[in-house]
Amino acid sequence: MTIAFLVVAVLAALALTRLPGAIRGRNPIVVASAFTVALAFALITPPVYEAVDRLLPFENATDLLAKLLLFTGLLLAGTQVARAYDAPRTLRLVSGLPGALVFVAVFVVEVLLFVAAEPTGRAADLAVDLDQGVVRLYSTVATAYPAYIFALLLPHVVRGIRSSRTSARVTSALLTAGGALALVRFAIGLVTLGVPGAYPVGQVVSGLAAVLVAAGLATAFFARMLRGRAAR
Amino acid sequence: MSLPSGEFRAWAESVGLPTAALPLARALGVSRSTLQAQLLRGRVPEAQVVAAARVAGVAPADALTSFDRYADLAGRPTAPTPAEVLAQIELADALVVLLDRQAPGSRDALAGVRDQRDPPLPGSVRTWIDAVDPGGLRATLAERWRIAPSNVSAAINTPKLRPSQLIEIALIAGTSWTGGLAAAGVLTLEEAGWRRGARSDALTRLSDVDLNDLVADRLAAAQREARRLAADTEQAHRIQDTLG
Repeated sequence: MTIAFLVVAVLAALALTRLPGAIRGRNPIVVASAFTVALAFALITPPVYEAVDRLLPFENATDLLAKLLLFTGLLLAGTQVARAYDAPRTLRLVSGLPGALVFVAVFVVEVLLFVAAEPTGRAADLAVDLDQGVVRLYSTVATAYPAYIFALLLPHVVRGIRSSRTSARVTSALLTAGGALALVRFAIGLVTLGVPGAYPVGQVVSGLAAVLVAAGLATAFFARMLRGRAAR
Repeated sequence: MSLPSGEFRAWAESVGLPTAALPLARALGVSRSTLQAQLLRGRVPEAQVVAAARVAGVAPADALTSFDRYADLAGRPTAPTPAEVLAQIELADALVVLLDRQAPGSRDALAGVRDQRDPPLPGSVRTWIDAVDPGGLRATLAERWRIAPSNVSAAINTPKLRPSQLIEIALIAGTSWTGGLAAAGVLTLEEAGWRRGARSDALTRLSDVDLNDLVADRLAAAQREARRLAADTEQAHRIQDTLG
């Protein structure tokens, strides 16, 4: 609970530092991704979730919205990371036609599972009904998309850790750690299918992964600022 | 790997160092907990023995051979081969001598500007290994240590070879056993049995052909490094510009 708020605070702060640059047209894609992911994590904190969900046409629509935002943020961030590491094949699998198909397929499956589930109340990830198999599946499938994106990116990002440049090394290390946790989160999701008790651990891992990736992007941002200042 | 702590205590006593952990740590200038951990685990690193020998005023090479593990090496010659000496010469020092042959007097004129640096230098272990390699050394090491050849190369370039491995390489190559320790900076050149000024004399004696070869070799290495740095910088800027 507290962890969820901390995660949102960190993500929002890092996103806001970028706002002035984005308004001037500097890397709008990465900034948009930072804001959508921060918003997605904000939506699933219980008080925000309750409040927003009352405004939406059907119960727990907020959760579908949060997932759509999260996936979109990942799609945008994944696209830019693939570009940053000069990986055209991976770029196609993230945001080319194959990537778009995976994105749509995962989200359609999520909607179908959402419809099949019979939630008994308002809760992010329908987490109050984890005793239903279909709800556990709904939760786990959602972790497959981040795992897909980072499984593609990890081989490229890992190589950056050996760079002789500190900024590239730190950014690569943070993205690698975050990406590895996204894969761990998917593994925990698979465990949750059989053992619902693993779910809270998985949520903490999700938050940690998001913070690490955001920190990696922030490192690139601050390194660019420092470089710009040194050049002037 | 490292040396047994029982032997280390006995050796310390024999050279007049305190044997209790606290005074010994104080004498060696390391923290008590570090030393105590080494003694408790029963494994004292070679570098610690070298440091202790320096404090006690004993030749570090003799200190190492007084341990069972390295006892076979006692009395073996430690003087470097000419190739090992050349391996520790840097581009700038070779260039000064080259310049001196084109424009006599340059070496003296530059005497105060450029001093020879002692190992460990970037790439000094790699150049040493290239100098002593009888052929297929990296493959032999990969086999002996049961690790992938690429990991052997990485360990050589980083360099992350342990003193025991450096000694092992020297023995395989049939060269002076202290050569690797000198290249890695575990022992100073003099402690490893090098004459003072060995490198300057070797440079002076080099034929024009060999001097040109040496410069070309070092220049090629410098160019590889410069290219790598340029590529890393370009990648870092690309990451910053795309994600920042």
